[in-house]
Amino acid sequence: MAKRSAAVMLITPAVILAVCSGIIAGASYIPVQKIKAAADLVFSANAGHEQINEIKYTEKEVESQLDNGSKIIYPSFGAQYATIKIDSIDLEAPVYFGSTDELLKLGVCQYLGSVFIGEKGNVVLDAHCNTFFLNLGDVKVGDIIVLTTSYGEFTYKMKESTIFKETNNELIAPTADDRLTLYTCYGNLLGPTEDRLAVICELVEKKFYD
Amino acid sequence: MKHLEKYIPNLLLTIILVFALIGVEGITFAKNQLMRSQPYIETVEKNDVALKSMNAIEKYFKDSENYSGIPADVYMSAITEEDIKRMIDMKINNAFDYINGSASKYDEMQFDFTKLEKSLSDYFAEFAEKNNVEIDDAYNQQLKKTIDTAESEISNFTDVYMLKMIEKTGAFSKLNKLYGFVNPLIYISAGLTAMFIIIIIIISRKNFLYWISSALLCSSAIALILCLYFKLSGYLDKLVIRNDYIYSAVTGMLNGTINKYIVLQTGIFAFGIILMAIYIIICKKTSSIDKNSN
Repeated sequence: MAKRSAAVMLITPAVILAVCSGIIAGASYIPVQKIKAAADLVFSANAGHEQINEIKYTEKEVESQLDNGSKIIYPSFGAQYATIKIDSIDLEAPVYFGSTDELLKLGVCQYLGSVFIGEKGNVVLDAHCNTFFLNLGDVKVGDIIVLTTSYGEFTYKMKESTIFKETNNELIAPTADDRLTLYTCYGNLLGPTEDRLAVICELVEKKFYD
Repeated sequence: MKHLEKYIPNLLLTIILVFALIGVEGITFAKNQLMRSQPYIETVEKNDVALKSMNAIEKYFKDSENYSGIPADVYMSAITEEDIKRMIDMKINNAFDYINGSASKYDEMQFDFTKLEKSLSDYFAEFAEKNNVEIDDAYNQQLKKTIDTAESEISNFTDVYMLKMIEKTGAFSKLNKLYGFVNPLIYISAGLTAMFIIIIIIISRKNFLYWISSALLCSSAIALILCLYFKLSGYLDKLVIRNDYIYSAVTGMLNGTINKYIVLQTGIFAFGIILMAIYIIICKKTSSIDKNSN
């Protein structure tokens, strides 16, 4: 009898715990399922916080063939895949795939919504007005711009320049013709500006390496 | 049979008491830990959030040098870490003043940016003189725009708990309405807890310590299991927000809250064990007295 009492005494808190846990689990199942998707999204970082702070640029490139049979090597995000040369303003700078604050410090950047150098359409490159594109406004009609990649060399001629608002995406949109659009911030005074300077160039020569 | 007559009602009452205890502990803890500005401000201090925010502000202005032409020093010479800390604290206090009804509406922040305005004005004037720029309407407009942008950006970097975003969802006004119910809820749940304890004492005069300690052990065990799951799995550390100052503030607050709740529940668990031990000692003494008298 005493042993049975002792056994009941020991088991009872476990029974209470099991019953209460069961009730809580049952009652909270639907609310938890509703919140879970959102919570998992907010707390879904795979790496530790230290790694999240570093942007790791992959080095994998992808070789492919265009419709005309020419070989193109697609760069990975953050990779330097070309150089730009404009003799008239004494500019020679690396071109990176992607346009982030970190990459803009390193060189001229390719706008991600534009085609790759060598593909048909509008190649859009940007850089800061106080660094690599400091003298972009001095490029004149007829000046030559050369983009050199590991798979070819592409020559453009300056056609026109224009000032536009940063909210106007017309000049950086895809085009049917082959062109190069270089753009940067525009303003005579200090501080942030909504104006952009675009230098639009037409393609004059495509030379893919064998 | 007699034992069963008392056992089942006590068991049911204890189960209900567990929920009453979870309720009163949870609401009281939430009121003291989550519905006041002080714990949030302490987290900011403990995790050097003001310094991290300052570093982020400096990086922003250094990055913007390339397109604004204004050196970061022009901005950074006009603000200190103490200023940033005060801005952060001000935002937190303003938010909770609105939630708890001390303020009738939510004012994000009113901070005195006179030093910053002077620093920028002086730099603009220097630039204008060097480059023969005319001081006209365009000049004044650009200066005002630069000052407004700087103040807005600094304000964003001091919003370490993303209060602006939360306020836009309408959460503050909802919390403001709910805040009035917190105290009544505490009184009701405390009253229910006391009532169930009294009923258990009345029904089971000899064994009430056992049932009450069981309730304390079970309520704290449930809370501890949940808290330890979050703590040991590192779930909260997987916050996707990359900004160091926000990450430190938010995860610091979440982890700090869980740690404090673990401490509270461990204390309650220990109290439950003590009561159970007292009950066992009393039982043994009673049974040995009965044996001796027999």
